[in-house]
Amino acid sequence: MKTWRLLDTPPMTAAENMALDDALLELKGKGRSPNTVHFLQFAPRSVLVGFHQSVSEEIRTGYCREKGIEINRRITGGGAIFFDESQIGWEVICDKQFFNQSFVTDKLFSILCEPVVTALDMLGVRACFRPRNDIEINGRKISGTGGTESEGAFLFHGSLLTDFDVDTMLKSLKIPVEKLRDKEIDSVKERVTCLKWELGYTPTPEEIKTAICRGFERHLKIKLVAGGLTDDEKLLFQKKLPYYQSRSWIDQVKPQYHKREAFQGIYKCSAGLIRLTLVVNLLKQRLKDIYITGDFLSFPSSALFDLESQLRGMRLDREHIKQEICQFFDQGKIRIPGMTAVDFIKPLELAFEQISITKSGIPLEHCN
Amino acid sequence: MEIKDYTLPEELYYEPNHYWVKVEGDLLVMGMNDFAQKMAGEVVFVQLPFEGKKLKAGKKFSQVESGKWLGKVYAPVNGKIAVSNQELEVNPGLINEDCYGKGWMFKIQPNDMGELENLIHGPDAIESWMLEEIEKFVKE
Repeated sequence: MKTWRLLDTPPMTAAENMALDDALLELKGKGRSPNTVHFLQFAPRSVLVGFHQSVSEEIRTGYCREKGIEINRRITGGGAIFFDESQIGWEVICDKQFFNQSFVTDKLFSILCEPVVTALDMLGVRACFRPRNDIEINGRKISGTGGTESEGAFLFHGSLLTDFDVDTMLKSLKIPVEKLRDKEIDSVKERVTCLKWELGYTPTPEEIKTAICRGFERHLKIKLVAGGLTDDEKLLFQKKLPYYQSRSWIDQVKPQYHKREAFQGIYKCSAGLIRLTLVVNLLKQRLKDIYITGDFLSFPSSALFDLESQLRGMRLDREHIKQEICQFFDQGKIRIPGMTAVDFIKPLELAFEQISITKSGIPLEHCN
Repeated sequence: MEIKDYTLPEELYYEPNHYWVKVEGDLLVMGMNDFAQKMAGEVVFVQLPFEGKKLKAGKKFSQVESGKWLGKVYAPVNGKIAVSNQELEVNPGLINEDCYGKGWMFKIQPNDMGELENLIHGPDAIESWMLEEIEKFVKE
């Protein structure tokens, strides 16, 4: 059985956490650092954009400044996230060779999420892996993951929601809350969950970390031994820190290619009202995000979130998106009494009409 | 040539992380191969290095994001960047649509064209390498 280091660092600023990630990965990539499971926490609370995202397009910077929420950029991909002091981040930094893989596949994401699924099970919640890289409980996300690489090493990380201030998350990230009604904001909240909501109490950080350690030991067939940073790691961390604190890192992506706009289509049929909120990047022709809300009941309860997850990131191609929705219904992945795929297509068409109008030069506020 | 579900033109050179290289006059053109673009899924971002950036064979020089994974691109030879495909700034999905054509990524000025011989080349070598890769990554 291989021994890995268990590195449990105290709560740090976002810049410190990013600089340490980079230092650990770089040294691991050069074979100068041990395979590691790392726990990290943030203080003060922070919002982190993905590596290629633009801060001004993803974050409500004024609100964050006012509330003392730090803003930084991850060294990994994916979307913007809110990390409060209670959340626990977990990371695996290891040789690519350990998994006999030179690049990342869906299978590897699953291998690296399963230990956390097991940990959640030990804590008393039944979770599952949602491809490509989320962990969820009854369709509600509790852990999002992502990663990157450097030479011979992978860094794979995830967050685990323990107790969660969802209102602050909604206000600090540019989720189009102003377009949603109160009831629908509640429904957006239903897309995430945390240990406290599931268990009725919050396990201590030690209990959570112990369970995650056991999960990794069992699945990766390793033994974790607590250890601190090596001298090399400390040195490189100190060297990298000023860069991760600098505007040139945090603001390195300019917004010109990342403009996002929200469009909404509402349709009322006899079985209820369906509201589709599309967050799009018109220049890149991408559907960045989608919220499907309304006063109908869908089965199974996670189906709507699965559909959203399937549509997120798609090309902004009306026919293509329609096809995906129809297939989802045809394959029986969702059932809504009194509704068919057609009832979802209608608000989609309305949202696309607005998109076409905007393209012809009419400002968005006149479309919605 | 077609190997299982993947297209790998046999006249191209391949580096082991699944990027193709071809000769174009004095330059080398580089892009992601069909296997890698299918494994990666939708490419959402490509970091485009500035013209003149020095490349060291085997060392990372750019990054590509897909499915929340930020992958690195490693230099196939020693040399420098002559030009990056600026179209990818707005439409990185060209890599998925046409990985050997419009989705090309970089043009490289190599120090020594002879270094191409270190890459995987020729139908037999490509086939045996790819079959091994498919076995390793796609099975299960």
